[in-house]
Amino acid sequence: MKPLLEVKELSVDFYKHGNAINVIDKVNLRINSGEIVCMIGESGSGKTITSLSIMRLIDFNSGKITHGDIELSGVSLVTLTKQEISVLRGKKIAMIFQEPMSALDPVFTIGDQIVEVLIRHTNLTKPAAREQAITLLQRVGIPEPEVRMKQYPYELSGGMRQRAMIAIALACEPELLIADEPTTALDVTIQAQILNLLKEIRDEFNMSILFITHDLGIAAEIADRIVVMYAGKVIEQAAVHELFEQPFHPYTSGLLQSVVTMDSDRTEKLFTINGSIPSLSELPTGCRFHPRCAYATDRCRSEEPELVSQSGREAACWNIEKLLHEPQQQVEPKRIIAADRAIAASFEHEQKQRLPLLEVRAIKKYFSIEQGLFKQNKKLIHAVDDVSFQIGKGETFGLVGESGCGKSTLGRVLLQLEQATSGQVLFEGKDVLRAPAGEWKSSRRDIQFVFQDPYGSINPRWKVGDIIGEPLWVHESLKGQAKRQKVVEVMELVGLNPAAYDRLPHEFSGGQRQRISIARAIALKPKFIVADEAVSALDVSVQSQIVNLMQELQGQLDLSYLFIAHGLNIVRHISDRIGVMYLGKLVEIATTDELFAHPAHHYTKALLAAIPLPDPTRRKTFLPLQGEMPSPANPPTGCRFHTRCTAATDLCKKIEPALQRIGPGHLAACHYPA
Amino acid sequence: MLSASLIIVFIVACAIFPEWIAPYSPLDMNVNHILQPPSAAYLLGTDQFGRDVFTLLVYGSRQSLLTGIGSVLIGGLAGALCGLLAGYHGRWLDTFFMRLIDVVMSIPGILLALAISVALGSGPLTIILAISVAVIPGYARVMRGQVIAVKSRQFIDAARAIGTPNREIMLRHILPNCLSPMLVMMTTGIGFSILISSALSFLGLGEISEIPDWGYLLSQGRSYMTIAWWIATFPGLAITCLVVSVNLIGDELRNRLDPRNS
Amino acid sequence: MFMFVIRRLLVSIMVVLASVTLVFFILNVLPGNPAEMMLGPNATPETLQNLNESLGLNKSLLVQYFDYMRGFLKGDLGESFITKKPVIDQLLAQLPATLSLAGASIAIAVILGMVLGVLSAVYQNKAIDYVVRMISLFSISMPTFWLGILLILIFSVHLQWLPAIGNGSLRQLILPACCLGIASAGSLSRLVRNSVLEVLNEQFVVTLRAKGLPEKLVLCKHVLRNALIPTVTMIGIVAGELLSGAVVTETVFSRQGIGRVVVEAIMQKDIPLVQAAILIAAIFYIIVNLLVDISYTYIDPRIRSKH
Repeated sequence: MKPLLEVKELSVDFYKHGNAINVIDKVNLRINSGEIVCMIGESGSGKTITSLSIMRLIDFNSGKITHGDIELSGVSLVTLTKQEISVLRGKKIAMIFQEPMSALDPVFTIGDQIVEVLIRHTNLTKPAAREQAITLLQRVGIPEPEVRMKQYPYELSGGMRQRAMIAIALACEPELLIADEPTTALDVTIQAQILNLLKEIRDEFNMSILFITHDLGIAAEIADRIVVMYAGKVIEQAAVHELFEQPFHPYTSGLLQSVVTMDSDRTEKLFTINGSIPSLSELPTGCRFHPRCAYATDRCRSEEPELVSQSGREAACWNIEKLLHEPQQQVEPKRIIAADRAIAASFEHEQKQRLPLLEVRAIKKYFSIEQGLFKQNKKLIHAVDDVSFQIGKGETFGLVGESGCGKSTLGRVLLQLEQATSGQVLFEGKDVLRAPAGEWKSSRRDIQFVFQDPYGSINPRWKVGDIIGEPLWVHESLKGQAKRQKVVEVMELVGLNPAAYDRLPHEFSGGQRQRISIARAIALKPKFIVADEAVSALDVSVQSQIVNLMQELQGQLDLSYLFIAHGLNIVRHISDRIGVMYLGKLVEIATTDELFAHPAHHYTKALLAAIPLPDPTRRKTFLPLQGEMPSPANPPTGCRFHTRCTAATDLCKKIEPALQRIGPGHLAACHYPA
Repeated sequence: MLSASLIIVFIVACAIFPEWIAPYSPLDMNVNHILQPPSAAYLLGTDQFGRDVFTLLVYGSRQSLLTGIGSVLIGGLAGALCGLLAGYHGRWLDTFFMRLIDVVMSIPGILLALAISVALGSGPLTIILAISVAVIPGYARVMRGQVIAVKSRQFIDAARAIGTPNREIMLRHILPNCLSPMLVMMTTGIGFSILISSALSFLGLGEISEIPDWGYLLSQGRSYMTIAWWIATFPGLAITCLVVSVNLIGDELRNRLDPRNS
Repeated sequence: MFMFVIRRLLVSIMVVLASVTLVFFILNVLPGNPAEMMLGPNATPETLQNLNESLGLNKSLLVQYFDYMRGFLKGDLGESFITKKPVIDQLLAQLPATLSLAGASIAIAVILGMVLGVLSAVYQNKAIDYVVRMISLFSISMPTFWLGILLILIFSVHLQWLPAIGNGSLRQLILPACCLGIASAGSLSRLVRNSVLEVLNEQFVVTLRAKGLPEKLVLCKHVLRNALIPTVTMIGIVAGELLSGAVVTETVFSRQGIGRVVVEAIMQKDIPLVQAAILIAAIFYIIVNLLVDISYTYIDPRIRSKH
């Protein structure tokens, strides 16, 4: 059968200041009609450029196809004129993007933006196009489509915006849909809804989908075939089952091992691939992966392997045989932290014996928005509403929930970046929120933090040494040589080269910057660290490096963590106990194993079920959760989850369930715990 | 860019060592050579008193440059300070400064500067002061916007969580990250101030010193426009060249300091 | 929306009162007595005394201020020290000339600035872009009055196409309006170029192209509308600065207008006249800013919802 789309040896150069940089090199790709092909790879691998090249959208960004061909149903797209290709865009090939907010024009209504594409590619009149647009919105699951037609992108939630984007893409029933990380910016329950929608659409319209993602779980969930890219080249492609069963390329193998699964052994260190993806201007010779590869030989260092076919699949590696027949080479010792795990299990018992390190008591944080002529209408956002929990010494407490649930606000309250509306935070028995003037500094000393954004959380104009040494300077007035000495110690501890002391942050990769942040956090040897989405912005292979580092440090320095995240698999790996938040409320607390084995709250159950499993043999057949989280300005009465809960009754609508003990160390706020 | 730098170097040289560059003395009045068109002897012609226009321009450069740089230093620094305080402190201080700026901005800049210099009595220093006051709001606004943008970045939260005192956050974290746009604005601001000061002289603020500045020369030349075009044209050209050069350097600075280009 | 306008009006009144106060004190606190200035160096102490009394200048400054503000609130702006006529009549007579100059030059600035800016951005780094950028650079670097003089030299003296001075006819408006408009057009076109380039880098432009929309539609409908948001702010600022420019332009072209009157008034320390002129300028500034804010709400739906 002739494939719908065939990309043959496609090479693309970008021009910057007159210099050509090769961004993708001889990429081969085939998509059959009705097939979902996932393209996976870390940031900088060339996935997005490949997709933009297929649409010829690189024309607008000084990109140029220097070699190869792209054929759609036998028609070469490379030789088309600008006018000819623009007729095909949106009609035969459509595209959806990662950030549905920035991908929609903010100053036109959703309706206008759908009608526009219909008018362009069909003969519909404007009223007919409006009718069609409403049908489309309905099809992609947007409630009250007539109302939404007149709304602007900012008035819709992230999930609704992505649905609207899909409606625009579907408008002319294209043969190929390119989806570039369409769920990365969405919460996991919304992600499940969107993935489900895409599968339905594929079946309904027999559409082909090129799905770009960095998440192997999603690929396993949705793909028929997988293409793996690395540093601008396709290094492997195979049917999804084959790939997950036996990868042919060491990089793919490494990626698969880096994935933290829901049933992985938590006492083991996470698998990591050394180093990080090279920048396109400094590509290594030979195989582009060889500096990070455990199997690399001299041949890999000098000769670049071509993509070769082998039993219906392709890989570009000189050592496929070695990979297939030799036992896996894991360089680092795997065992770590086993001993600490026991502590968690006996936590409840222990709790009775000594004070917890940190105790959060009935914390509330309301934000007010003022409206009206004299700001008379005050509206309250209930960001955090009566949350209590404890964290023991040496413990890691995971806090999970979807965006807007209040978990980050809670973290900010603990760091005293926000003033709590009411409630107490006791650290070693002392209330830090109302500490006397002389003592506020000492609590800041013991509670440190690591933030999400490795680029935003360090001052770009400070030297690395000064960034790491800032707490030493503030709290111990260390300067000059004394500071340098301590900072160098810490840098070695987190795996940074002390020679980096006098360099500026922009010279470092995301993973290294996160090491800088961690070094700053441990410089004062604190007792407690709030890690707010500390690894969420990093690539899979780097993520594991940082998680391992944090666990090593915990053992060495006797740290306790509050680990705030939305990625449940990482939280599961690192946490001893986990709290689940929904709409400002803590709805469930349990030890990690208990929570994953017996989730009691229906929200927790749905959240767990929504995570894509990196195993194509265990695909989901049901949709875990409908609807979206209501606004925290106007929370539902009774149980806040009742609007989305399948088990909700009248009782749930009227009376708010209290967080109560349902088992050893297991609390849940539900009238009908499972 | 190169020519812009050369022009500036030349004008700065004129301002510092006028006597080395100018062929005559600015006070020489040669009644036999009034209103001479440009020639080998008088490169840019002579004015109504028989003074060499080129010499006058060379000597006048000092006043123009001093006014430009002085008012930017005073106005820019004062504005930056207001903006920094308003932006960092927020709340009532911000409201207060912003209203104050609204008030000053609602008065046309030239009228404000004119009123101040008339009230203080004219003189080179007065002009600098008057222009400084008129340009403060612009700097304060830009600085405030910049501070608010930097304040929302996460490393400020980081510093607060560490316990870094407010004063240090303002001086060591926020200020360094606001400097580049201020630097660009102050560079182009020199040009803007020179334009205002020449307009003030033109409006008849009078001769403020023995040696006429470029704006005053230009306004004098206006009366002889139809019979001696050079008197008005060359001072204007000199101002334009200086301001274009300053603006070009400002643009170049903006490009170099833009984080997206590094 | 209505509430928003009301609130803005209340704030605006405060701003006007404050500006008038500021100018009152600048003109009065600083040395130099208007009566002395009017009578010249040869005045006898008695005549000076008399004039001071008749102008109310012998009272303490605060009393003078409250007297003035009382009149001001009643709508009485006082009489000119020089002509003894009510200042308001004097200024209102000049208003049409200044407004027509301002209006015409704003129109020139906006049309020229937008067209050049968009051209320059669309043909980024091509010949057109370099030419436009050069023109813009020069137009913002030239003293307004020098440009005026050059325009007169070229178009009136040499080519004799247009009249150099006076007001009344449309032909007499052309040169001054161009003179005033060109400088603002330069700064506008620079801004429009930057904002169009910025919008062209937005993700949604990729979406629009991926939808297969023709480039012309992408530019004229979507990019321009988005680039208009910062542009409107700039138009507001330009319009505010226009009054400064008008002061100079009216002098160069010997036109009637508030600008010229107020320059003379400042020089002669005719305080009531200056006060009234500043009042008009402040009101103008506030109206322009209000218009800018209102037009935002039409361009940007996100702002509309805030009000």
